[in-house]
Amino acid sequence: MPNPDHAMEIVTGSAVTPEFSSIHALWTAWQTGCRPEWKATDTPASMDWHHLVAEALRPILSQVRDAPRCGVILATTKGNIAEIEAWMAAVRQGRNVDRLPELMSESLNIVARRFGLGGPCYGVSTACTSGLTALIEAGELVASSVVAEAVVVAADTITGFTRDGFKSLKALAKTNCHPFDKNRDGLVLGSAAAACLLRRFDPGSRPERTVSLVGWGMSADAMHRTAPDRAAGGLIRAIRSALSMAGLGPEAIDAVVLHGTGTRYNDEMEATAMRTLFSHRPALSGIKGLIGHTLGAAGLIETLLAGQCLTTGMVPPMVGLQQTEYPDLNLVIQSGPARPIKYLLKTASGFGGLNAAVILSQTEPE
Amino acid sequence: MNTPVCLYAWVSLDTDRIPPVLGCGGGTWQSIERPTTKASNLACDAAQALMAGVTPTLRDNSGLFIGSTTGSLHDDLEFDNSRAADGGQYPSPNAFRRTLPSTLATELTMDLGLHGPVVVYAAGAASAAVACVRGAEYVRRGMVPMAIVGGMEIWTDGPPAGLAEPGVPAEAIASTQRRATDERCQIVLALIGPADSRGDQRPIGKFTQARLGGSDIHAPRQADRSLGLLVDLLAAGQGQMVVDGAVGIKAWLELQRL
Repeated sequence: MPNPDHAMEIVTGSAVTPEFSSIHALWTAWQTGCRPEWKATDTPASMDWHHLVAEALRPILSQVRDAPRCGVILATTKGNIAEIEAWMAAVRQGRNVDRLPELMSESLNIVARRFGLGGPCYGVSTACTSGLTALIEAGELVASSVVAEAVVVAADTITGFTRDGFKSLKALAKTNCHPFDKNRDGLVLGSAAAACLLRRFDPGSRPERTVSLVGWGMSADAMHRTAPDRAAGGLIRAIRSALSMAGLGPEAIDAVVLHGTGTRYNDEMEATAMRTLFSHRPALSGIKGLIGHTLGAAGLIETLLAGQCLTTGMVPPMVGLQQTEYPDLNLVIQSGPARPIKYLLKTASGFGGLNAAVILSQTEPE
Repeated sequence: MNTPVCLYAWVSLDTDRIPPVLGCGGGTWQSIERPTTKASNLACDAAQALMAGVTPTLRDNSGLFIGSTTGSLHDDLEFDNSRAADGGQYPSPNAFRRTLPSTLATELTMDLGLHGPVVVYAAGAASAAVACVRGAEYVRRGMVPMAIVGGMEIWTDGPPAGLAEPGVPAEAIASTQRRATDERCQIVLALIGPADSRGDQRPIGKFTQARLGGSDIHAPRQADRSLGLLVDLLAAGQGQMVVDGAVGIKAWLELQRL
């Protein structure tokens, strides 16, 4: 039984991408390995940022008990980048721009107003760890009793700005995303939005099993603007913080949903962290081969899917992995039979050497 | 607050003002010495002054909690210009590396050797205040031994300069204020921690209140007013600031002189 002071129940969650309309659809595709037919060269079509956010938020709002006091934490790397890009084009062309573009706090304002969520609300942006950072922030707000419940929203859309940026860094895959594969050659970008409702875990209030956050940690490599610490020092630190908060040793972790971008440096760094921390070889998987790297949304959408692993006892394969470069690690290539998973770790790492980790557990009704 | 969270040092600068260093408490930093300066250099210099004397172990675990309204807009424009130049053949990877609201914060982690949590907040006019409140809460809950909290904005030239001084045209700012640095920016940073965290160094203040609340979810867009209010509060050494961030958030900070 997790420590109720730290345990935060993920009451409900949802996610949408241009190809998938729900967490259920994503989970089914992950299990069956049915990847949509797209390649890095034709990154999935982006969608309107506010439309994606609304689609992700709607399914969870019915579970909010007190909307006027409900906290809202937004995670994004660029916010409504399509709007910002249009504004920058106008500035560049010398048009008389007398206003700023829609910045992150204004996007958040629009969301909070539209859905009547009136508690403390703010955005967090910590590169590709934003989704997990927002989840941790929400956990901290509830743990500190600032709010009784908090909605976490995470969204990013892909436009020419982002695509050209990653292209300039030579980080995009030539074909598809193949995390931890011998032939991996980079990441694929994807648009997505995800949302969840977080509330303090109350073992007596739920008749069914639930998924809870029982530990979390964040860290900085303090080494490089884009490349991760090759010794994985930052990620290891974040994971150790999460384990410490949960009161667990590394051997308690049954499975890990990795960041798994498919870039040389990221995957190598994560492999080092797994090797260093987990001698018992927990099952390792990831889903960026299915939906691409969804940037600020990635941490949350992947945490929600990790929750499905817990409730079903299934760890689907690392999508895109065909020939592992790391045979010493238990990277899941083929689905196995369901087995009990008590604790699952979700990690994320991002530009600037930022790292985050959360531990999920399934809680039984009393 | 159960465990008192104390203020040990603070620094503040605004390149639109002369002199650009607006204030400093608990430390010795008084002037910008670099002949040409970028906002990231200024931020690192300010933070180094703030952390002078902090032991390596404390530094290593300290957190960084920064608010910003404009995020990376200044650098977004630079990268976007590189995309537009030469028919879009050579978007600048160096410019792209800086197009995240967290860029400036991560540069501080590298310069200072901070390995603890880093969070960059956006909450409109209350961004810096939210960062202070959240940082204080991380300290109070024992998640970090010390924290650098505050706000950082790099102002863009041209139309969006109006954000720095709502209602004041960019041309008016440019004509009346000499630019002392390469990039226009405003930075306010404070070092906070529990009462006994700095050994022999006595805190200069104690936060008796640091909290968030919801508010009406409407208001026009605004610059981060909490940056200016925070400077006033820190310079006074005691008092209260309340910011309505206009994104459904209100932040309170109350400081008592020690």
